[in-house]
Amino acid sequence: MKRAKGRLLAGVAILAVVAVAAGAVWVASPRAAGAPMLIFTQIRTDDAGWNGGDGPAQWFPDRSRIVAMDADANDGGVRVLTAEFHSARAPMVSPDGRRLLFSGRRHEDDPWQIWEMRLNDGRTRLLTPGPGWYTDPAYLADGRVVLSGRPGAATDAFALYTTAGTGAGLMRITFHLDRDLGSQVLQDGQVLFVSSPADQVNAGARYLVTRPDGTGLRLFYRSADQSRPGGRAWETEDRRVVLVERGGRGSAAGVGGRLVALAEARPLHSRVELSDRVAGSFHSLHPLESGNLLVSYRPAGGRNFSLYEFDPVAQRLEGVLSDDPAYHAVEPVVAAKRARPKTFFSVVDSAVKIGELYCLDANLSSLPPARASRASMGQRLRMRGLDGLLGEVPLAADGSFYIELPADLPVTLETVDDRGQVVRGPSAWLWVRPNERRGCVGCHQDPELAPANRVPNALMGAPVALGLARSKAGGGSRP
Amino acid sequence: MTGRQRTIVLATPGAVALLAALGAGHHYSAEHAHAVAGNDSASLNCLPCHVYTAQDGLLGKVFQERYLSPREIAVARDGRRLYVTAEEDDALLVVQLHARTVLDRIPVGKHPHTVVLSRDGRTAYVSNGWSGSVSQVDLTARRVSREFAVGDGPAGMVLDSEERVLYVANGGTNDISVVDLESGRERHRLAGGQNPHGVALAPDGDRVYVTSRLSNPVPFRTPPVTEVTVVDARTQRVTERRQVYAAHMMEGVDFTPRGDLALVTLVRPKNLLPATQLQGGWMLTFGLGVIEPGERGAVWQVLLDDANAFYADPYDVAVTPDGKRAFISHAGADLLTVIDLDSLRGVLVGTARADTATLANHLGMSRRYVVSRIRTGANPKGLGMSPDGRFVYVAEQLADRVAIVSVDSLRIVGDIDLGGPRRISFVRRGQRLFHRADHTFQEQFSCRSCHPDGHTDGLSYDIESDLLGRNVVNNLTLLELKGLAPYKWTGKNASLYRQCGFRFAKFFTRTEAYAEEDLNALVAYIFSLSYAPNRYRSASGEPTPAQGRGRRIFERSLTNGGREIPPANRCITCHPPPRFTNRMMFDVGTRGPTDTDGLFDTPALVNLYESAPYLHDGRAATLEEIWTRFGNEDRHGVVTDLTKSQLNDLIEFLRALGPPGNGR
Repeated sequence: MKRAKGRLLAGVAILAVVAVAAGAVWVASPRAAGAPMLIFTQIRTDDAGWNGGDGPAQWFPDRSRIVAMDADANDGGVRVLTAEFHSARAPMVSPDGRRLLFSGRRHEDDPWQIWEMRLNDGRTRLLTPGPGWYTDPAYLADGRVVLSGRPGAATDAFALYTTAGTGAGLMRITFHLDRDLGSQVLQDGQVLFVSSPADQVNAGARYLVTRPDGTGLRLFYRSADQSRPGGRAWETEDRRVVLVERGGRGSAAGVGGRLVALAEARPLHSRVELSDRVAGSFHSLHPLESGNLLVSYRPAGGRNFSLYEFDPVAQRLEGVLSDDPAYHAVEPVVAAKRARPKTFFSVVDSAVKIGELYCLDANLSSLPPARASRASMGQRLRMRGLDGLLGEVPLAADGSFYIELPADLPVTLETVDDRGQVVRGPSAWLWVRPNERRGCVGCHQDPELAPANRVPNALMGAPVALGLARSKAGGGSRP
Repeated sequence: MTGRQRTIVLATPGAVALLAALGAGHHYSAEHAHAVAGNDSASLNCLPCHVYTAQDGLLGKVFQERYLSPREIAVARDGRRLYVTAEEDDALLVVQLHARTVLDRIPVGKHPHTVVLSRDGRTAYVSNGWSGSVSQVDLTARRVSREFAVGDGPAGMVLDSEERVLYVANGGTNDISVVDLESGRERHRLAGGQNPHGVALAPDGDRVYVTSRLSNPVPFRTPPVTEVTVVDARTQRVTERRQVYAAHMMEGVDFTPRGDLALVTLVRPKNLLPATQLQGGWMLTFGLGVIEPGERGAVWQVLLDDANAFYADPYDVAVTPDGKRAFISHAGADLLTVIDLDSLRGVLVGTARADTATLANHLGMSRRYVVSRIRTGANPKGLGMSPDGRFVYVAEQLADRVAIVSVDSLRIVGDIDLGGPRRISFVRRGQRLFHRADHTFQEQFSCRSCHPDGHTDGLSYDIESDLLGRNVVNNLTLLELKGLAPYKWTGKNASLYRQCGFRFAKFFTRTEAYAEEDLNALVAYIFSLSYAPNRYRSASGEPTPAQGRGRRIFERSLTNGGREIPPANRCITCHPPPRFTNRMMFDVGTRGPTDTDGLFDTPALVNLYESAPYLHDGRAATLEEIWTRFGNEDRHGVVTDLTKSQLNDLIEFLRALGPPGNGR
């Protein structure tokens, strides 16, 4: 009898453990497949400062909030995910579909910071402790997060940072003086983002790509007609990049924008406008598995942006998904599992304080020579930093140079003739990461030109140190 | 003590000992695996090295499969049958098109490469890559009716317009056999380029074009220059050697129907630049050579890649009968590119001669003539065009399948299962990984891109060292590597697991590293690669008199003058059989102009004649140059006392150093 009682108790205990475990699994499970959740930002239509354009009032809209809606719900009802926050925006779902990144502030006087939310229970944690303002987070392939940050409030310049998401320090990965916003992580692991000069409103913006450690920075897309990128771009399954462009084509201050697709294989020369036949304007978008797009759209003469499904082949809006006159519905994302991007091994070595830059022919350029110089070919390379001239180095006979320069320092380059007159330049701000080695075909050359296969003369010798007179520390890691 | 107690007393120490032995065994095997692999991965185990890769015995039977690996296709003139070489099955497959089934399997020589058909459809000729022969196949009786010897490594072939002569590209002997089909004997052996491969007859029947895969010898640290050999089909003599600059790996060739252009597939390597980045085509680009006939005709190069997407390893090209389109198979991208030939002509006409170099490097041009990219199965190789021009047939070499592509819709409209094994063995999985470029950033290259047939492309690379432009290294073969660790010229890598692991991803492929199972499969495949039989060795294995004399020099301990050669400076000390390496590092005075160190891993010498150029940086174009130009200080063996004929004998001996069993 005693033994039977013991067995009974043991059985009950096991059942209890199993039940608790099953309950825990149920609680922790993501939402059932087949009913994907749409998540988007709502911005109050009575927020007079927000017009869907550019500028701080657009990046940090007061009392905005992030909401969720079942994709198959017919009532358009939403659930507020950020009820504990004064303002929130820029949602981004993790590749496993279980977590949500967003930018927000709990109280009106708080800085905007990056938060992560567990979608199953709504618990949040802060990823960016500190006084700066942060926005536009996205998950990297290895689970880290890339985001835009402005350490102080005195400037409109935003740089890209990465963080391990454990409350550990941020690592800055872009170093020019521009506003780097709207990060997106492509399937090949690169970070695609919008970069625009901080000192110019709505001008010179373009999409750049970089590896997650900030190396390999290069131009991805720049509109030929002065249109401006409208924020975060998205990659489709057929390897296109879809985005919103504003202005251009003689447009006035244009808010909202047009839907544009680029072939990822050749983004600089493959632009196709998807919304030619649609009046009104688009704010943001998200690709759907079906090939359609989830778009934030405002009809011509309409008051607010609402969510629609859009057929890019037929160029037709398929139907409204969310339309609340009190709110603009923008920045839609789908809370679903998607393929994890590829990872990279970083070559950045923080123990090395310099990087290297070499060029095959600095005189190979699509820019005409400056009038001040009578020469068409530069004889020397001049490098300038924020505080002035950093040094000059003679170009090799084939136009090549090989220099080492301080890491993470924005510099510009220009070629000069034998009288010191500028032949071409200055370049845009550029920099190298610690231990990075970057090669260029020319200066401002056609970005689709692959290098010729020859040994550059400059590589016959050691690199010339510019901006610092010291040799490489640490040595770095080589194959 | 009861019997039960006694059993417990006796069994306990045994159990403890067994557990201890198992624990010690596991510890030992883990230590061994980590030491061999050169990494500390917790999931390493015995299976990849000792089980999955077993080629012989019971394990080999269980774990290996004999795949077909279709390579080239010939289409019957009535369009009803395909003839497909099955490279790993040593057979010619006869395929009935309407039923999409294999009618027959005809055994031929080893590693059949190309098949060509007589006009009457009664005879096929199959080049046997590892047999040095061509099989003449009676397609009525479906058997080999005759076999005739040609050069080493026969690959592409073509019949002349009267079908009296067969031209055979001999990849191993770097020449072209001109075979009289009536007698079955070679009339001539014409000097070709390096590693001749594809052969095509111009539509007027006057010219035969033969492509080469490897560069002719060029000065150290200059771009490759690869040859298209032009043979006059009337005189059967070489009339032109068209040089294609900064390109190599020209494999496929076809003519437009008018014969105004020949198209050849090619690769444009960037081996002279530091391998610091891939984006923008800084490692390899892939394209077409477009050749106008005549000595003064232009040789253009155009790329098939896009700015951010590369299509690795173009292999074959087939022009439609109406001359409007060309199909190109990209073996490393599992894809066909279709180009519009009129658009391509427009680009060429609009390009000034001074701009041809820019054209050859411009990644944006392809959009002007590429009309479609068609996804295929694994490793598309040889192409066959239906006589009516409606279909292109694609040999999917690592899928054991032939795809049927509609020329009108530019879609795959069907495929033919050739009947290979269903199961994908571990080694086959590695073979697919080796040949597929999707493990490099922007799919820029596959392992095969630099290691065709698992061997070497004969180039020296600037693989990022502490100073850019320094320490360039001669690309090494991957054949028969098992047991030859350490790897790399610097001996840095204790194992292939390390060589192909995360460092490979960090500094070469610049994207995600292979998953561990994939890495195991890749290494298993590389370890399965073997040399073709050494052509300098006689069938009996007996050395020639010159080889015998050379062997005595190789093993000698005294100079011609009777002075003793220190043991450390004898050839045999560092290059002992069976692989002719002691796997140790030495400085033998070969430090070159770009080197920061003179210490190098001792290379194996098996089938050395296939591995030009020589030395760690590829400075020596020939074996002779190792000593006559670069090693005349008697540090790399004692050679300064040798007469010219003695040096010739030594080299004859070295060329005959074959793999154990000589690959037969």
